[in-house]
Amino acid sequence: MTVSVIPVGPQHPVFLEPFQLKLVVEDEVVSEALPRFGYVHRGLEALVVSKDFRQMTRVAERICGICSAIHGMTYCRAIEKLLGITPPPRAQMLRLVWSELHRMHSHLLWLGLFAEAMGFESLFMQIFRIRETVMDILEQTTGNRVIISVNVIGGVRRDLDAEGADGIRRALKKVAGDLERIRPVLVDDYSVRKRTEEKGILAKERAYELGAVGPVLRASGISQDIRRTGYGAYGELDFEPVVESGGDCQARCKVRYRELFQSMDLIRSGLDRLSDGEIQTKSKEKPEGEILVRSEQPRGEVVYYIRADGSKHLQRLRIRTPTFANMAALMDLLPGLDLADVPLVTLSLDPCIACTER
Amino acid sequence: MTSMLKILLKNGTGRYATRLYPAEAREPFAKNRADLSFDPGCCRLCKTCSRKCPTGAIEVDKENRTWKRDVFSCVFCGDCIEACPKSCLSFVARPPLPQKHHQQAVVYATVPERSKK
Repeated sequence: MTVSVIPVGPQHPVFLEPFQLKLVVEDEVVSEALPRFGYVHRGLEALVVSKDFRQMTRVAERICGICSAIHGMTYCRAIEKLLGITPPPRAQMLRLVWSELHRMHSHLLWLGLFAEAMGFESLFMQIFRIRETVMDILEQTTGNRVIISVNVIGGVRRDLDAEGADGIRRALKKVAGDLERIRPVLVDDYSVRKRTEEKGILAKERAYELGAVGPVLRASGISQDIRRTGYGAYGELDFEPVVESGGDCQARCKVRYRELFQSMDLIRSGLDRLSDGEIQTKSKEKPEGEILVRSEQPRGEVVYYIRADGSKHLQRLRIRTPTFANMAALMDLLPGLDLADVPLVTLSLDPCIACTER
Repeated sequence: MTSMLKILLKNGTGRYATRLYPAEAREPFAKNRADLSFDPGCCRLCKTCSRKCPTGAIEVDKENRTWKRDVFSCVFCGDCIEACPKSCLSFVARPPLPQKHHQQAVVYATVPERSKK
């Protein structure tokens, strides 16, 4: 038996961001995996000592492009709690709408990349075509495609008029139709099933023990969603977490696919319940104290810890991102896999390295 | 397999998903944040925009009465627009044309002198 060590990454066609997996391989079968991080560390957490706490909102949004609205929202929620202010109901609902649109574009991006990792280029193109509709909604309503910069401390910056809300509803109808059309390909197609079924199985107990979060945990049959804690406007809406029981790549794909429809439902009911009124609560206070805030990102739970001493600079900002929480699960999944399945299984966890390294 | 074939046939016979840019360009959305416009006429050189800017892209010189923005540093967040007490700043929906020289990537404006009242 030949034992060799194969470095996968930091530049690899499947990993869009630089991170390395050192795989100990025994005749094409992985026996051990070691991750290596640190290629895109930017020191964003340390910026709190040099940037004003309001300016830090823009930094928080730029931690990750794919879930920037949710990073910004979580940071703002933390500071709002320290300041003791509550954003107006309209602002909270608008935050929900934009966060869910972000979740949609993130999941569509992942579905596309997943198809590409399988070698299914035409499906990748098809999914990215659907994603473009969501990106257009974001651009139309906020002015930017990815980093939408709508969250400010105390509410949101941009308002949504009736025409914009109708535009979102119309676009979502189109997206729903397009998604229904690709459903048989993602779920029933022979080659897709061959490639994803029973690959990288994460058992329910193991997922819980390793502290997996988000769609990875839900695909293993555990119904956990931080949105159910009712932060922001999520408490007003009724929904159940999407849960699958397989624990394999196919289950993770199904969870994300079904979450797209769940997000669309949340956006629609959010737009229906949009109340009139202000979109910002102003405050001239400075934050003081300690706070820990959790939100559900497209990849799972994100935790923000902030310590402030009443000056315009924060003392400490610490972020735990969902990809980091899922890394332990990935290291458990890889041993025993064929080398050819490693990229697909790694991608099925939706690793976001920019988030993880900050 | 047939389900993907149906989608591909529909794509093949339907209209194009892409445009023949630049011959066929889409109108920018009205709320687009493509560029930042500055009106020197109403500026009081109060430096609020420069203080609020998270990237330090704006420099205001009171002595020489100049207002300067580094286009490459600007992230189009809109903090300066909200902060400006005189509403001198606004977003432009149409993106600017590509620049030939690096020097042009800095926007200078000289704020005119005002008569004292």
